[in-house]
Amino acid sequence: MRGILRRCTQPCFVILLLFLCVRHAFAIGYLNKAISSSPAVIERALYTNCITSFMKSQTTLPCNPAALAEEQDPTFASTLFFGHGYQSAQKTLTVLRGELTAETLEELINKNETLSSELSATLMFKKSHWGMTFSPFRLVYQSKVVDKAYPQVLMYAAQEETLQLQLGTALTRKLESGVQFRWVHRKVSYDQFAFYDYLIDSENYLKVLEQEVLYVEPGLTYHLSENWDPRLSLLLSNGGFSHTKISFIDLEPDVIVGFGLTPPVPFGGLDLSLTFADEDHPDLKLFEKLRLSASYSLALAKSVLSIGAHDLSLGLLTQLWSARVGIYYSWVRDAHLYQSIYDSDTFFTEFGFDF
Amino acid sequence: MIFKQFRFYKVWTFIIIFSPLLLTLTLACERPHPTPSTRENDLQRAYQWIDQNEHEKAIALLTNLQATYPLDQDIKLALASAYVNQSGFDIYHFYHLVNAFTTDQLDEKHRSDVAQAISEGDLRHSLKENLRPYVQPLVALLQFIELFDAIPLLTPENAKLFDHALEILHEDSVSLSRGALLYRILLQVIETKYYVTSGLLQSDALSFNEAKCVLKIGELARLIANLRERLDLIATDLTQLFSDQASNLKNYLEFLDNLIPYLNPSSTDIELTAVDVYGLFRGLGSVRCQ
Repeated sequence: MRGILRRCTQPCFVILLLFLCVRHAFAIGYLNKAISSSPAVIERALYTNCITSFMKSQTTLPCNPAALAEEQDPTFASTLFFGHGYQSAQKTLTVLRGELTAETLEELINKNETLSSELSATLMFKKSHWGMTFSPFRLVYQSKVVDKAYPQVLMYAAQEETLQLQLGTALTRKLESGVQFRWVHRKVSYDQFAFYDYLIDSENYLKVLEQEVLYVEPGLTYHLSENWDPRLSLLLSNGGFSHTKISFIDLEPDVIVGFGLTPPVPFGGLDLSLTFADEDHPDLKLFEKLRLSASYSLALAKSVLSIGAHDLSLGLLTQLWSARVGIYYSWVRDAHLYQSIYDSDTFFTEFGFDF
Repeated sequence: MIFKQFRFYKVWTFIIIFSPLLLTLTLACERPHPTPSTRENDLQRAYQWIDQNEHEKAIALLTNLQATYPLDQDIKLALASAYVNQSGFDIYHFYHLVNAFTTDQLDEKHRSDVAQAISEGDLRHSLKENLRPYVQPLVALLQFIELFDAIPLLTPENAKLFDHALEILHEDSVSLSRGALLYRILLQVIETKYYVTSGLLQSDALSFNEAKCVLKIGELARLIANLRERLDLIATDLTQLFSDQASNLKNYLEFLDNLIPYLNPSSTDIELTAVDVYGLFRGLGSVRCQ
């Protein structure tokens, strides 16, 4: 009897924690998520499933700081991550400097495409139980135009500097915990407007806001068994503190809970995971917040397939000596954005060098 | 083999832990999510069809929606846009047109061209004198004509679609947003070009002759009066939008008001007036007779 109680104590603790957290953390922003800003293609492709997936990139800090509880060799790595990189830098800076002209918008309307671009550089150091990264810049740009006759534009541009510290430790043989402190300084501009409204009152749109945030993001992983390593993970992501409030950046934590499994395979490594992410999409039904992913690694190559209710992501990463290159592709069906439903796809590339 | 490694009691441990977790999440997390209304869903679907060039579907959906929400401005704009998009006319390229009416920074070259056209044109002395105060509006006219020339001419089918769009947007200017008002102005300007141009081409106002250009004053007067009426509507919207900045258009309207009496067919000096007006237009380069 005592054995059963002892065996149940830790899982019950995790479940209780999940219950408490899930009930109180619903209001979430949908931009600037920690996981969405990872400079690693594997983490991007796994998306929320990276909190429990075994298939972590060894050259970035894990999504779930609890993973740092495991022993590992010291690693120092640099990463350049981009998709439409030059456009991103150019457009982001144009918006943030307040230099957006009617001609630029006209060109955007003319192309009539959804643009999602990013350019970032990151330096990372980690060893057992702690790690840190510094990203001197991350430029993000997104835009979407609906209706060419009466064009309505959604535009988001951000420039961020990030310093991140992770600590992880094993509380018991099966329960690992960790916490991430993430300081972000950002300049950001986000608006939805009609093109003709912008022509008349441009000064009222795309105002540049500045914010410093300290995010505190705790995580847990509970290993149920050694065979197949079934595990439960929890991450409270994007909970932060700031003097400056920005309406479209929510600092309430996202609750992500996941279950991972590592079945043995004859060659390489296979990893399966299922997560539930409570993000701020009020229109999503419960099952639409679930995500399933499968990862497979063989020799120096890693691959990830991740499926959500409305999207599909692929990630491929390969390493040759100290250099690494990876690609990430994401396809979203029926994305709802500013009075429109549309399909979109994005393609990002990662280049890195590990010391 | 693989499944045997996963011991039986571990499966039960997993089920015991994971089932309550799923149950907890299901019960605790299923917050009542606001279901998007039919209006929003239909509007989103209509925009999707507009962007996929399925305009007929969008128009049918939005027409039904408008019957339910007759005063909804978003639906009106979407429906008007569906018609304009159906024409394939990229109206946003011509937002510069508004500048021709609102800017006071007139091109010096145009100013001297107009002054030269007036002084050297085949005009009566009295008309020359009368036109001198209108150098500025004439420059605005010339600039406008240059921009006007850049607008592709609507086909009769597209003109009908523009008519539909303007009919939908035809309401008290106060209830339209400023952007929507600007949109309506652009639609009106483009449509005006169609009616003026097609009117000129179809009427006998100008009959080209190698020897000389004969203006049928009555026809021209009717066209200019029509133009005056259409520009008056645009001027009303522009004044609403830019308050005191629509000065060029006002000057232009004043110029037309002063020009119309010269085109009066009952004038006793019709031939001379025809030469005057021809000379003026030839001087401005907007009408070429050969």
